[in-house]
Amino acid sequence: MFEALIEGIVNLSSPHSLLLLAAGSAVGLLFGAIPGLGGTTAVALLIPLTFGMEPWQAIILMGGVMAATSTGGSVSAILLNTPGIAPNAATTFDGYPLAQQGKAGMAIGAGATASALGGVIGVISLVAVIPIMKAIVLLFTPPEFFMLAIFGLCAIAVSSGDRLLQGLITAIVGLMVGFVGYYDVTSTVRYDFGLPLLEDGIKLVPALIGLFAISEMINLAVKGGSISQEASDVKISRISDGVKSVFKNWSTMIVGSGYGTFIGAVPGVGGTVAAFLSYSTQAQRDPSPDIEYGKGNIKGVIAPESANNAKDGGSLIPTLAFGIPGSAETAVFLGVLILHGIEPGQKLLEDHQDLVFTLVVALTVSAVFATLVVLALAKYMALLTRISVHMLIPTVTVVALVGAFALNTEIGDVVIAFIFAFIGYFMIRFNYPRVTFTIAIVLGSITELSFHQSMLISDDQWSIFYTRWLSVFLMVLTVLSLALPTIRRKMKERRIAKEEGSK
Amino acid sequence: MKIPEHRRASAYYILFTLAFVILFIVTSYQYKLTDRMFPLLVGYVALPLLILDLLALTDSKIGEKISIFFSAKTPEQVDEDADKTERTMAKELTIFAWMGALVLGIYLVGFLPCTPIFVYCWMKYRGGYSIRESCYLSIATTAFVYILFELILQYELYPGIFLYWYG
Repeated sequence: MFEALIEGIVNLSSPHSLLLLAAGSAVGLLFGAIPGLGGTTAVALLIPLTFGMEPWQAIILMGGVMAATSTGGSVSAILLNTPGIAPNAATTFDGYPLAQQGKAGMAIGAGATASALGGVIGVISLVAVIPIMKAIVLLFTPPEFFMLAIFGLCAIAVSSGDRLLQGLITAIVGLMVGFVGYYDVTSTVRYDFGLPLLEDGIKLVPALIGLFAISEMINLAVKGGSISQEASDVKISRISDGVKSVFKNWSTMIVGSGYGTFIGAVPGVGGTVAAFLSYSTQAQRDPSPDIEYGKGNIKGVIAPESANNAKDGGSLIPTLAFGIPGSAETAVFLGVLILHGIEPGQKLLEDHQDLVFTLVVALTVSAVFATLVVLALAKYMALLTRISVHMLIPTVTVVALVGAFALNTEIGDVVIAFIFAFIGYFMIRFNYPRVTFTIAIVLGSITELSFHQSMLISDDQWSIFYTRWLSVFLMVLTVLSLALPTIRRKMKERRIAKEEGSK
Repeated sequence: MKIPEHRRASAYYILFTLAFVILFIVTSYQYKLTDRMFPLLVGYVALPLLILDLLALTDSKIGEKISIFFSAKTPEQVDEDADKTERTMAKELTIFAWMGALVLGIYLVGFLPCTPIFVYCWMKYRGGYSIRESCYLSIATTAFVYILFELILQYELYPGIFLYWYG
């Protein structure tokens, strides 16, 4: 493991690698700061640039993007009350009041430092789990993989919050899309409708570019206006006070990072839940604060920011170990790994530890780099959010379509990206989760393959799924995850009834 | 059991998805048992879920019960929390037409002629920018695409079907 870590550091130490990391971090900061874009769009857009790269170079670029996005998002959350990405929403509660009190610099300093430290803690957790991951992965045979994929899909569907039905439908439709094309087990081409374009299946990269990059542009075009209407003439000072406040409130940062890592590791739950849980826990832990939460308490910035950056390391745990992405960003990142011939799981953890550690080092350095950039350029970053959508839409759309084409230099891929852009737009419009859809497309073939392998092993006996302890355990987790919204609703009803009774 | 006017668009979306699922199921039967077993399993799970989703949109007791069961909210609360952005069909169709024209243009004449034309027209006619500003961004975008993809990454950008025809 130590050699792999050294190799990771060596991979990152060349000027070319550092340039890639800086470019990735810059794009991540930019896309994180501009509301409506986000890290997933950035990763999807950058995929075509990695085609000619070595796998570790692609990993460095993507690591830079992933680690920097939420740090960038915190700037617009604090200065403009507009979260760059969803996980930064909790930062607005206290970040914006601080900015209104003339303490924007302090809030940015605290947010950026908490982000960097949270990111590093998340990555350290990932490193700590790697040796255990190998042992766990070995416990998984086809039935367990099948149940894990089903659990992952259900957990992601449930994470759609109050849209469980829509989440489940989206997961199933995503699986169906994943079935299109050549099926290795029986060497049959299915659901291609005679179109050569579909013979090899739906190509992941054009589909992702359409779903996340172009659909966002269509959505912005339909919504119109400029991205942020708020004024950005906020004075940025007292940044060092913010940096110091994180060290003063270290326990808040540690607890937030713990939440981020743990919640990030659950597929689909993601940074938003981690940030909000971290914020609310902090508020509960501190019943009589000096400054009320929601009115400019610096701990209200530290808690969510450390959580939403720590989740990057956490969400990579299921992605690298099982190929089950922990978030939309990691789903697209998984596409990058597959594109470069890297298969997540035991093989990756044993044969390509250098790549895993290259990612670990890239995430760590990028988290720190992004923080330094934010501390230095916060004021100018706020101006980015003033860019008119009419400048962003044509440029991003064209670059996205060129990117979709570049992978196989097939014009059909542009059509795929175009079709998925509309699917993505309608999913935004009718509030169906695109993350679930993406993860289901990625998992479609793995799920079916594990299912068939299980049936082959068991001689077509379904009992294989409920006679192995790990498979049963995952089945119970699946049922529990599906029952969770009902349990939560019942508890809420009981609490309300109790409160009304006591009145 | 009626679907209120403001939820009709969602209903059409569900019906479209339902049609896709039915097509998927029907198509599955043309394959051998091994090839269709798992897809069919998945397809048949989707049908009742879609029907429940459709029922949840109706103005009825059952619609309310389904909505509360799956989302802990009444249909009215779901309406309240929904994205309130005004999306007129005319506006959506206009944007779709712009995007469609871009893809068609790329298919016919390729990326390099289409990029400046699309960026210029969008800036000028949708964004209301001056000719000069529109020109600047269109040239900058084209230069970015050309330098990055053609020169640095050495991809041969699609030249359009017309150029293919003319050899």
